[in-house]
Amino acid sequence: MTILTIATTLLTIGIFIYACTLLTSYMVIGIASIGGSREYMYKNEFTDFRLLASSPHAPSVSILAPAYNEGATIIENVRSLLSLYYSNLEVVVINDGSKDDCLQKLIDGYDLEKIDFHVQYKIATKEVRGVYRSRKAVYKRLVVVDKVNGGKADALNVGINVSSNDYIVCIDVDCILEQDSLLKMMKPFLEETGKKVIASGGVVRIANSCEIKDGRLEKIRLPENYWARMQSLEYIRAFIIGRMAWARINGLLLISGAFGAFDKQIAIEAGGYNHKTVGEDMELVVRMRRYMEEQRRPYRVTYIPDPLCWTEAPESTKILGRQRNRWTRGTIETLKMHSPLFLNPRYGVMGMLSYPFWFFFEMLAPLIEFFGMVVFTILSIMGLINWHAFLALLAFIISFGYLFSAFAAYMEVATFNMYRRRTDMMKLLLTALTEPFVFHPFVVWAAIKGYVDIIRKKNSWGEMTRQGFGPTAQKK
Amino acid sequence: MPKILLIEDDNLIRKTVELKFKKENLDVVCACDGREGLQKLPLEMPDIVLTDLMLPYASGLEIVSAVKAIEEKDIPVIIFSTMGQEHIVQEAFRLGADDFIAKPFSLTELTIRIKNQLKKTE
Amino acid sequence: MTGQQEIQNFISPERLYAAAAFFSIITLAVVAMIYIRLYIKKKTHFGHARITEQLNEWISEALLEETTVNITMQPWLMQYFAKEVHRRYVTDSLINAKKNLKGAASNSIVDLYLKLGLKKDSLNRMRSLVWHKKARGIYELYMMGQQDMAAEIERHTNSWFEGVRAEAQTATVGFKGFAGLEFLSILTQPLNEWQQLKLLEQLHKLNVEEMPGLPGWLASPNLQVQIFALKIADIYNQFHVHDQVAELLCADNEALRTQAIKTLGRIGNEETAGIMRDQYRQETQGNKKLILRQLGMVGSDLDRNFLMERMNEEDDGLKLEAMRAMAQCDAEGWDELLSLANDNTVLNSISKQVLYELEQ
Repeated sequence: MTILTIATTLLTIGIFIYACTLLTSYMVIGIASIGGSREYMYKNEFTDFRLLASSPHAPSVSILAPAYNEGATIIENVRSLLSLYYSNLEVVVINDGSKDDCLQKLIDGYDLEKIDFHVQYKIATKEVRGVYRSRKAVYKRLVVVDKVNGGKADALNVGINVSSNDYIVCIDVDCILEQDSLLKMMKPFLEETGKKVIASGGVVRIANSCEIKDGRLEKIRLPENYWARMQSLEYIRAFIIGRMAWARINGLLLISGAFGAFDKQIAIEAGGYNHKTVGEDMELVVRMRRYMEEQRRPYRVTYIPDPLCWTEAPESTKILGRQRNRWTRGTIETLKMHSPLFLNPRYGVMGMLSYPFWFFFEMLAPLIEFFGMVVFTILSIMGLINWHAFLALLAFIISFGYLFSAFAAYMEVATFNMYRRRTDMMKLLLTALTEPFVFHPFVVWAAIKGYVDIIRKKNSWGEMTRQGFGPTAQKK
Repeated sequence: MPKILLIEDDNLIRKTVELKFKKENLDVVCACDGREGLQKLPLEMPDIVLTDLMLPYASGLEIVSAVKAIEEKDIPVIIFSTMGQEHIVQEAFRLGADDFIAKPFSLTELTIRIKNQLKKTE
Repeated sequence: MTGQQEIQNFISPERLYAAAAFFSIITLAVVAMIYIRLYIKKKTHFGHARITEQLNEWISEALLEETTVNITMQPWLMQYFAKEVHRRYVTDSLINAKKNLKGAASNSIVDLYLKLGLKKDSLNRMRSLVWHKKARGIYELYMMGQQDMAAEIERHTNSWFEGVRAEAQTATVGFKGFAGLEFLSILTQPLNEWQQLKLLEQLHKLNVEEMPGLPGWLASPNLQVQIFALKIADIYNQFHVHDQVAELLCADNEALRTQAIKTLGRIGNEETAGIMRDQYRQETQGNKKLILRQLGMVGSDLDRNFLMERMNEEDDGLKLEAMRAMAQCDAEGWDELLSLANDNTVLNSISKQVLYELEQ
């Protein structure tokens, strides 16, 4: 046997084992998610969530919404937050040194005045220039903080410092929240006994092409843009299946930065958001979990499969590429910062399952795939590819991918079905057929660029231009 | 015939109250959410507004504010509230609400309160 | 066979193609299931939509009648009622209406529920072995005021299944009022905060009654029962258990101590402020802030020195709470504090915030 033969055999076996492990994990995740979703739906079938909305005994919540150059839409966005069903609520908008008229619009739109407020810097942040409240009683829930620009993580930390309530819900200010989203998000914090719920996440869905009016979703539609449509499927797989399954075994490492609820005290004790990473949302959850493990305090990170938050997904390859680049850098940075967790039994499920999974199948996956593509190219040039075997392996992997996507679509229909039209479902499934050849290679390429940037020590967010939600959030 | 603007998102309750008022010779205009209520308010210029506090798209407090902002006509506002919303009810009164009815409510009592308010404004 | 050949046999192209074909067949089956599901949902949805307007009209008319004796089921309605899923929809509509209406209309709702034979469905659900059906059955019977089922429902107040237990507890309190809280004496299963909230909302609608079980619940081996008992003592001003509540400040569990502090703030007597001051030093940061907040309610000028000393705390949050307390309970002390604050930037900033809050 030549060295080359041994090498190619080992490579083939390696890829096959990797693929099989990944596929098996997805199958286990898929099955686990069914039980989780069903349990949630049965438990809440006739729950009167409005009880939580009006009860004086309900936990107090502060929504933290960092805003940077959101002048165009800030008034409607804040208005929709103020009309959320929840009585014990404070809405903290943090103007992160916007260069546009974001702050002035808020001052004029909500009749704000600068108030005397002693900012306690429980978490170190950039300077706060002023705290504003409305003169009008109807807006008394609103607090606006003006600060020196410091990035999203810093803005959220300022929000934590200024907020007066026990729980924080961190959102992207331009996301659309369902009116009863807070009620549903807070219930898990009250349900657990014996363990402290430190964070809770919900499903984020894609709002592109949906009809939106006055900051509310009027009609749900599948995105018309290919890239956004592909992300819809991706989000369904990730949120309805992936996160549900991980949460069931208390192994969830990531709560979306677009919408996540946290126990404020634990977040402060863990040190707040880390502004040294672009993956601050994942990093906070990992750090809070690590903190609780090290303190030996029983805890849970919960997740609810209800679609509560709608966000705009990138529609161009340029913006999508930047986003995936940032996500890759964020994942690498977070896993690097918390490397002691890797296969460390001291950290329970997180150390023995979640971290290794993220390490091998989220972080390394693009590298392995890219390496595989490079080797494949070289071997095919050298005429060393057994095409019969290669095509069989490709068919195996692609057909499993299609099965997983179909399963995700089924779970969407069987749970909180948002895409009810059969034509929408057909479009979604047909789009899935293109994924292995178009979307997935693009995402892998963007991730590789993320690796390159990490090595080059690039640490910016990149400009994420958004179209904003017009009457119909679509490109004409 | 006095005109009532009824803003209530529960279909059955809205239907039942509407029927009750019609049987009492009261003209009823219905809205199923806060936004529809705000749209119909200037168009219908009702003699009285009856609104739930928790509504989709715009809260009952916004409805109260909008009604009291109308200068051409002094329109009384009666709010429905659920038990435990006392602090929101207080807020509504600060904004100018004229009366409140706690849910669950009696249709008979509701009708009497509406008629009393209408009498006050005559 | 060499190792390499064995491996190649195992992951032979034929096997991989077979697996791919298998996945493809399952995929097609899943896609078919998607469409079947969508079709059923659409049919059900439009079925409901077509009928809802008529149904609401019919129910509203029925509710406004003095009696349901003369209510007749038209053919379209009888056809609609043939399906269990439709009957459940009507039950839900009636329950929702009952939450909003009282008096004659509420009685009509219950009459309608019985006349339409919906109680039978609810009973079947309650007697099901499947937990979520059982829970739903209990919920429906309680919401429709079926007091004759109270005894059977009460048997489930300590059920292993959380959903069943919760609905049974809510129903029992709903039927029996404060007397329905007896289950707390024997509850061995958890009583989470959500359920506590639901029970408190049930009780809120009632006039307060004697709770002879309260001292026992405060001493329960079930931690959540203790916490719930503290909440009840707080909300219903049960002054007679003040000393027992004060003893709970020595508990190991922080959440229990937190609730005990809150309750003492409400049922405090002349000794309470002193008890709180003594407890302060050994407490967590969170509970320290809570103690200071309660001192605002139960404190007096006797607490002036204690509150003044808090101005030396490292945590500005504690300073803030101490200032708020001083402003509430001791006017002279507050003036003194304001003079002190003039010479200290941090205290000055905090005092300005408190002054703003007092103006609101």
